Amino acid sequence: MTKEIENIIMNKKFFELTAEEKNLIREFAETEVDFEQLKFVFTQLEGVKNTEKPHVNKAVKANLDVLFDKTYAHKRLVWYNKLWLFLWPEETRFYARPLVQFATVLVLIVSVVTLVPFNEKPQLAMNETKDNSPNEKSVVEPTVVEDVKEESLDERIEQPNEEVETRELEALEMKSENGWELAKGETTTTTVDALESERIEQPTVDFYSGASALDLDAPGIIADEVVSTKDMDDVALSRSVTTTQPKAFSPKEKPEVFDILTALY
Amino acid sequence: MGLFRTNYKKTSDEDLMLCLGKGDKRAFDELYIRYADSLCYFFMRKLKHDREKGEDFVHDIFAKLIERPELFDVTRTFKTWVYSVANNMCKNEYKKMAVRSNTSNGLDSSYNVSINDLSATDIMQNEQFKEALAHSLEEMDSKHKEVFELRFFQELSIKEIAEIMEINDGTVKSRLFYATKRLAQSLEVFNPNLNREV
Repeated sequence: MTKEIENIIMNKKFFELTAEEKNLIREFAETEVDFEQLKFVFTQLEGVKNTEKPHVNKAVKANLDVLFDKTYAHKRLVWYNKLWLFLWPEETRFYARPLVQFATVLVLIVSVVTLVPFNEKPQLAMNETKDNSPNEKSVVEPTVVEDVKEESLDERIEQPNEEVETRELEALEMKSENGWELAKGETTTTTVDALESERIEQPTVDFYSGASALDLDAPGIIADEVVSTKDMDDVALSRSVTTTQPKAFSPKEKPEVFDILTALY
Repeated sequence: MGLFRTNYKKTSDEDLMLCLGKGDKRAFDELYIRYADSLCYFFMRKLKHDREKGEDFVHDIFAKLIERPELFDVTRTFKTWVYSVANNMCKNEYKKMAVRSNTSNGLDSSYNVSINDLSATDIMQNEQFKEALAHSLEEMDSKHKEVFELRFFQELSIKEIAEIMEINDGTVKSRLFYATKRLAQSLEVFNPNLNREV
């Protein structure tokens, strides 16, 4: 009797059976009476099974657990127990135990790796050797400097003339008002001859070829010396303002001058 | 949770048995959950509803599994193997009982006190039915009785019964047919529908 036949008998009524199902159960129940009888027996057996089926006492499981622990205690600790016994043998001295030795080696390796600088550059002071060979940078930079120099040269050529003009005017005004002159070395205002100012406005012809100096005969003279050197590509202009030492005078002789100078200072 | 740990609920009995052999406690627990109650019921029915003896036999069979897991025949399914072992244990017990020829103390452990929703009449009828069923099974040939019990109480398939009993499927079917027909006839009096018709 297969499970299928049992299910048919248990779950269906006789009039619900199909021809196939009737054919299937014919061996067990040909008539409706037999069918009902089998159904009753199976139902009762199911009830009996459900009521009778016991639950094993928990003490049985507890005893089996104890037995299991006893039986497999050595098996359960197989690999890690052996490993621990190898790493930490009780009979050997502390420093001779492999775990201590492994740890020591590990600490050493870590220390060496972290503390010793393997790839760092030397931090001592070193003389740098200058490379004189021309490269792209050294070629590019002078061109920029040249431009700056040319610009400053133009400005500086024009600037002295303006300064001289202003100083000339100031000196003339002071001369007309006070009737005295100030030495260049002591004040910012100087007296400049008109001729000399013309000389400053119109530099000498050999401006670019050599050194040109302006000598002023007044005690406070601004001597602009434009020294230029002209080569093929390089132009250098140096301008130096030299002042001649004025005549020494005591404050007692001209106290009002001294006061003005002090105030201006 | 299930990433690294084996899901024993879905593991086959045979694999659980292999894990048990390696000392896997959880495999043993799972096998116990699956078979302890069924085996206890099997032993109880075989040993005249002696519950204590049935539990002792359950303990013995699982103790064998723990101590000698290599006895498991890997060519067979665990279910049929364990039931065949249980069947042999019962046969050995029969022999011992025959040798001792001990007598029962008169107490039937099948009369369990249970609380349920059934009325007193229903309980009485059920008890009467159980008695009649047990009586009919006792009267039956042991071959037919074993097949019937394995089929209806242990819910084993015909193939499994054939393996446990070490007989072919056809024999199991014929024995089962005979036992069913016999029981249906002997228990006919308990069917209220048929009695009304009669």
